[in-house]
Amino acid sequence: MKKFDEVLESLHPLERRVLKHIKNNLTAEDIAVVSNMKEIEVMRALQWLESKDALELKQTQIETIELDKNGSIYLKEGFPEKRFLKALLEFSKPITLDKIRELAKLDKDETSISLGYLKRNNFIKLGREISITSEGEKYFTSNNSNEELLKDLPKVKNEIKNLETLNDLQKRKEIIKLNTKKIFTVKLKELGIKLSSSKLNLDLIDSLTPEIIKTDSWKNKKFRRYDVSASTGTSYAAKRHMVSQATNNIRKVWLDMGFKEMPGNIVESSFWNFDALFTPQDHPAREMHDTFFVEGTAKLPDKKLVNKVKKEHESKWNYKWDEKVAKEKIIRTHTTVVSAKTLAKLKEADIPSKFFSVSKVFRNEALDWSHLFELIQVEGFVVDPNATFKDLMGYLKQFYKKLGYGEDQIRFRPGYFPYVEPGLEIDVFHPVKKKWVELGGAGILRPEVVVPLLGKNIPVLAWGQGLERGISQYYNITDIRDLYKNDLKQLRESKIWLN
Amino acid sequence: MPKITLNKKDTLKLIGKAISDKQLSGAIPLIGTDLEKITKNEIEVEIFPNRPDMLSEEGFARALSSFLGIKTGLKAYKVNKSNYKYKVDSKVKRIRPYCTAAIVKGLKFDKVSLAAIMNLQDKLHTTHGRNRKKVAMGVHDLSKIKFPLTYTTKPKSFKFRALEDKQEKTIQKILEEHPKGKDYAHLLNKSEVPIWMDANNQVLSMPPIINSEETKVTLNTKEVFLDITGTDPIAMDQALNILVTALADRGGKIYTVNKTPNLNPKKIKININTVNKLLGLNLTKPQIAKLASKMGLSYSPSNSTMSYPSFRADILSEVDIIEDLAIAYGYNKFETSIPNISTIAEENPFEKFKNLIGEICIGLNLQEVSSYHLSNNEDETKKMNTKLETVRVINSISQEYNVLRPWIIPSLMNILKINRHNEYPQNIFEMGKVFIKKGTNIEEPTRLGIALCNHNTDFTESKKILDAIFSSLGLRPTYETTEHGSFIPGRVARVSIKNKKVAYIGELHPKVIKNFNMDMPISAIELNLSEIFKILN
Repeated sequence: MKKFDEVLESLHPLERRVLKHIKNNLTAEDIAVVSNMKEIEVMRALQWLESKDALELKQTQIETIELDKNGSIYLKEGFPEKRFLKALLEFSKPITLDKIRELAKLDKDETSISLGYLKRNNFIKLGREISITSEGEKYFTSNNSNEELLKDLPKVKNEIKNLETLNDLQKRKEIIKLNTKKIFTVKLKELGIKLSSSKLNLDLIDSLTPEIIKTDSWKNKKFRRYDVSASTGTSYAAKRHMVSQATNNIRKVWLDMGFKEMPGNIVESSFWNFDALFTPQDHPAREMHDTFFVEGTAKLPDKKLVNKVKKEHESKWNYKWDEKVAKEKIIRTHTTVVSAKTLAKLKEADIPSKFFSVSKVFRNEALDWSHLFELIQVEGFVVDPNATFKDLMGYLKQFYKKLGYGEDQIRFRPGYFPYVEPGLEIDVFHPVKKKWVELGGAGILRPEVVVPLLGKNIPVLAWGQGLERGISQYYNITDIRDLYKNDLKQLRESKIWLN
Repeated sequence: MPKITLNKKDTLKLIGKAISDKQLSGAIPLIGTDLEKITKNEIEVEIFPNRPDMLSEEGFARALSSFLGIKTGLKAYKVNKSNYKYKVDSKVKRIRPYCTAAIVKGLKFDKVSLAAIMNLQDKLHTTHGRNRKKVAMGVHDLSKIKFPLTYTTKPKSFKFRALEDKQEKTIQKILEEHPKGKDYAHLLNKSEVPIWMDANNQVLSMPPIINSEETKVTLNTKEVFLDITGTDPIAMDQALNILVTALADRGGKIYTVNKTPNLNPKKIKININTVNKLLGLNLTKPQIAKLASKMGLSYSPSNSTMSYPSFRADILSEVDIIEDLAIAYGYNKFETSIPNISTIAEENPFEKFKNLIGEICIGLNLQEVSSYHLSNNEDETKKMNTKLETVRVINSISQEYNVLRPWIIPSLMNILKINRHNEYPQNIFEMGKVFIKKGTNIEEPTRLGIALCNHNTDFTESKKILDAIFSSLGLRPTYETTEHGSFIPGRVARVSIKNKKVAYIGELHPKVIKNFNMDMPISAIELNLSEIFKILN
C-alpha cells in the first residue's frame, strides 16, 4: 500500500479537478457539468482514481427514445395518414388515389404506408374513388397521440406512459429509435473520501521544461509522481519484413558454413531451367500449367554447350531435341537454374567450391491457403572431386542443426528429381505437430548434367528447399498467403526472427 | 507425381507374407515412395515418375517383397514362342508410326485383379505415355479375335462400335461424342486414324483413343492380347513389359506376337570404385551382390555387370544403379560426414548493399513490406495513369497476375489500400526486382520503393528521406522538375547522381490515390538501387 502523501502527489491535474467536485452517487455526466470539464476528461480521471482504489464506478444502462429520420419529417409535416385524411376531408367527396397523392404531397412509400394503415383501421373505404369513414373523421379530429409522443422526445423509455402508441411507432419505419446510454455512478471508497477532503491545490511540477532546469526553480517544489505501471499506448519499431528476416538468417547459416552467394535472373530460358538440367522436352513439369511462359524468345549459350546438352537428351531420352523449345522464355521454376549457370562458369582453379542462393521461384498455380505462385527456394551446391553421398547428408544435417533441429529430428528418404541421382528428400520432425514434415530435395547431379557444363564428371552435391513453411511455423501462420499480405498491424506487432 | 490407391489385401497376397501396417509404413518410404496413408483396406502412395513399373499392386508388391527380403533377386519371366502374327500397313508411318504386342494366357480374373490391370493402364497412359501421346495401350479378349491382325489406318467415315457404345458409329462421331473421343481427339489430327483390325475385319481398337466393344475383356476372359502404339519404341517396349509382367505375377503365361515381348534382362557395367567413391562406402563385391538382389537386380562380380529387369524405365547410367544400391543399403544407415575442404564464404556484394539500404530505411522508421513480382496492367499502368511497357506472361491462370511488374510504387499502393483500416502514419518501403524490356532482352534491376502515407505528407517529407539515404551513401543528388502522370504537376522530380537518372520522387496525384480507393495523401520515391550500386563501385 502506497503512502497517502505519495498518492496525493501522484494525482494528475484532471484527477485533482474531479476530486474537488466529487460526491457519492454523482454520475460522470453530473461531474462534467459541475466541474465545467469535458465528459471524456472526467471519465479518464475517474478511471485513474478507480485504479488507485479511491473509488468504484458503477455502470448502469439507460434507454432513451429519440426521433428518427421519418419521425423528424412527420413531426414537421404531419403523419402521411393524417395528410391523406386531410386531403379527403378538404375535398369533401370521394376522389381518386392520384388526386389524394397530389393534394397531400405523398410520395410512393408514404402512399402505401397510409393506405395500409387507413384500410386496416377502417378509416377509409376503397373503391374506384376513395372516401372517408365516420371512424376516419373521428380519428382525424380527436386522435393526436402519435404527434404528442413525438413532441415529447427525447425521453427516457421508462417515463413514456402511452405504451400502445410507443409500440405502434416502434413497428413503423424509422420514426423513433431506441438509444442505450451507459451511466457511470461514483461510489467513493475510504481513500477517495480522504483525497476529496484533502488540500488539492499542491504546487507540483508537471512537465520538466528547459526553463525549470535553467532557473533551478525545481529546488523548492515537488514533482508530480507518475503511476509508472500505467499503460501508455504503444510505439512500433519499424522492421524488416518477416520474409527478409528469415532469408537473411538462412543466408547467414550458409555463409557460416563457408558458402559463396550466387546472383541470378528471374526470367530465364527453358534451356537453362530445364534442358541443361536433363529434363526432357516432353516432361510434365514443362507443361503450361506448371510453368509461367513469358513473351519473346531467349538467346541460347554458345553452340558447343548447346550441342553437348542436345546429345545427352537425344542419346539417353531417345527423342529429337528441339532448339525452339529450349529458346522459350520462362520465369524460373527453381533456382537450380542459378546453380547450373554458375557451374557452367567455373574454372579448374575454382574447384572445390560451395555455393548457395536464397531467392524467389515461380509456379503457375492458383493462390490458396497452402499454395503460393511465388516461393523462396534455398538452393546450394558443392562441387568437389571427393564429395560423397554421405557428405551431401552431412552438409544438410549441419544446416538443419544450425536452424535448431536436433540430430534425431532430421531424416533422409529416397527422392526423385530428373537431374540428380542418387536423390533424396529431407524431412524434419515438427516439435508441435509431432510429425515429420517434408522440407526439400537434394542429390548428386547426374553426369548427363555435369559433363556438358563442367567438361568432366565431378561429383556435384545439390539441394533445393522451400523456405515459406519454416517461416509460417515460426509466425504461427496457417494461411500461407498471409506471409505476403502485408497487414501493417501484423507486421508492426510481430516479433523479430530470434532463432 | 502420380498418386495411386492400392488394394491392401491384394498387395499383401502378391508380396507373399502378412506384414503389419507398422512394418509397411516403415518400409514404404525407404524404397523411394511417398506414403500418403494406410487404411483398413487401402494403401495410398505417390510413385516417383521414374518408376512406372510400380504403378500397380503387382509391380509395387514385387519391389516391396524384394526389398523386405521375401522374394529377392532378378525375377525371370518365361516368354513362350507362338505363331501369332500381325502386319503393319505402311500408311501408319505418318500417323502413329510404331506398334508392338504380346499375349498372356492362363489368366483368372476377379473384380480386384481386373480393376488392377485397368488402373495400371490408366496410370501408364497419363504418366509414362505422356497422356497417350507417346505410348498408348489396349487389352483385348483373345478368344474374340481372329489372327493374323493388321495395324492400319481408316478414314473418319469408317464405322465401328466403340467401348461402352450401344451401336456402330463413324469415327468422326466417336471423336466428337464419346467421352474418350472428346478428351483425346487432338492427338489424331490427320484425315485417317490408326486402327487395329483382325482377320475378320473386326476392329480391336482405334489407338490412342478407344478400344472396340467387341473385344472387351470381362471377368470370363482367360487369355488377352495386348496392343501398344506410339511414337517412342523404347518407351513402348517398357510399357508392354510392365503390363505382361504384371499379368504374369498373377499366374499368366506370356506368348509372343511377331517377336515381342523381349523380357531378357538388360545389362550395365558397374565399377565398384565408382560406387564406393560416390556413396562414401566400402562395399565389397559380395555386399554389392546382396544389395542388388534386394532391389530385384543381379550382380555378376566376375565381369562387373549388373542385370536389371526389362520393365525398369529409369536405368540410363551407372548412377541409377548406384541409387538402387544406396536404397538397399538404407538411407537411414548412412553415417553422415562433412569433408575437410577449405572454401571462402562470400556474400553477394549486391545483397550486402541491399541490406545496408534496408538498415538506413529502418533507421528512417520505414516499415519493410514484401510483394509479388507478378501483377497486372490495371494496377501497374491504368490506375497509376501512366504508360509503362510491361512484360507479359503468356499463360498465367490468373488475370490478376499476368505481367511482371515494371516498377515498385504500384505494389506499395496496393499494400496501403488493404491497410486503410490500420493506424496512420503508414510509411513503408520495399526493395525488389522490376522487369524492363530492352529490345528482345528483359532487364531486371532492383529498385527501392518508398511510400509515405499520412495526413501531413508532402514532397518535402519524401525529399528529406531521399536526401538522408543519399547523404548516408555520400552521394549528392540533383533534383530536376519533370512530368509524370502518377504525380501532381509541379510536385514531381527526376533525381540524378553524376548525370545518371536514378530516381523519381513526388506527391501522388489525388486521381491516382482515388483509383486505389484511398483518401489519404501519399508521397513516394522510386530509386534504382542497381544503378546506385554501379555508381558506388
